[in-house]
Amino acid sequence: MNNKLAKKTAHEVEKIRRQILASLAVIAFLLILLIPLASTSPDGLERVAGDLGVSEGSGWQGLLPGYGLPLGNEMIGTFLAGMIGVLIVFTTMFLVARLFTLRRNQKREQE
Amino acid sequence: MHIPDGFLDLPVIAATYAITAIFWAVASIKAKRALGEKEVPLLSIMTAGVFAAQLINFPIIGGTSGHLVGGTLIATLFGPFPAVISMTVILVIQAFVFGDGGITALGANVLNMGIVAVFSGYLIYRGIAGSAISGKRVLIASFIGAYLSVLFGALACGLEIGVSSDFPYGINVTVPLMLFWHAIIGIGEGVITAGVLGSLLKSRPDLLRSEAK
Repeated sequence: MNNKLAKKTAHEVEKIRRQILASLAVIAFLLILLIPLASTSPDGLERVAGDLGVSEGSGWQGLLPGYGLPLGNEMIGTFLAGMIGVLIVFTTMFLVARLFTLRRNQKREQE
Repeated sequence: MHIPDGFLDLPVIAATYAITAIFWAVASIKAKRALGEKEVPLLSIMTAGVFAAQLINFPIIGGTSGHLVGGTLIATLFGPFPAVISMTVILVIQAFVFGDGGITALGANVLNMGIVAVFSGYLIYRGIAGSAISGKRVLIASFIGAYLSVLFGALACGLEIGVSSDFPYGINVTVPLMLFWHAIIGIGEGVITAGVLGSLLKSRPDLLRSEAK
C-alpha cells in the first residue's frame, strides 16, 4: 500500500469514526427527548395476555431487567440502561458484520 | 410482541428454534454476499437505532402501546438477509441482557420479528416500489410494507401461542386479538419506517441504489 493511499484510508477511517460518534449522540439525544414521553401501557401481546388472564412464566430476567438501573430516578435509569444497550448492540453488530465482510476481503487481497 | 417464557410449549419452542436456525444458516451465507464493507458502520448504527427505538412505546387506543419492530426499515436499506442478522442481534441482547422476550421464546421471537416481519415487509416493499429509488413511491411502499410486516409478525405470534398447550387459549382467540391490536400498532411502524427512510434518502440518496444488486 503506498503512502498516499494509506493517508486516504486513515482519513476515511477518521471520517467514519466521527460519523459513528455523531450518530450515537443523536440516538442519546432522541432517547433523552422521548423517554419521558414514552407510554408505559402494555404492548399488543402483553395486552392480549393480560385480557386473557395469562401471566408469563418465570425465567431468566436479564442483567438489567426491564431496561432499568436502580438509580432512584426511573427515567435516568432507563436512559442509561438504554445507552448501555445501544453500545452493546452497536458493538455486537459491528463485530458480526466485520466478520462477514472480512473473509471476502482477505480473499481479495490474496488474488 | 416479544414472547416471554412460559407461553410456548416444548414442541413450539423446538419448531420455532429449528426454523429460525435454518434461516440463520442461510442468512449468514447470503449476508456475506449482500453486505459491503462500507455498509458495516451504517448497518451497525441503524441496528443500534432500532434497538433504541424499541425502547420508546407509543400509546395507541384503550391503554395499549406499541413500538417499532424495525425489520422492514433495515431490510429496505441492506436487504433481507443482513436484516435477519441485525434483528437477531437486537433480540438476543434484549433477551439476555434485559430479560425482554424469553430465552425459550427467542427462536419464536426471531422468527416473528426477524424473519416473518423482515421478509413480508421487504417483499411487499419491493413489489410496490419496483425499481423506484426515491420519491413518493418508495415512501408509500415502505409504509405499506412496514404496516403489513407487523400484521404478519403478529399473525405468526398469535399462531405460536395459540397452538401451544401452555397458553390456555387457542388460535381462534389469540390470532384475532393479536391482529386487532397490531392492525393499530402497525400504523406507527409504517409512519416511522417511511419517515426515517424519507429523511435518510434525502441526505444519502445512494443508500437505496445499492439495493438493486
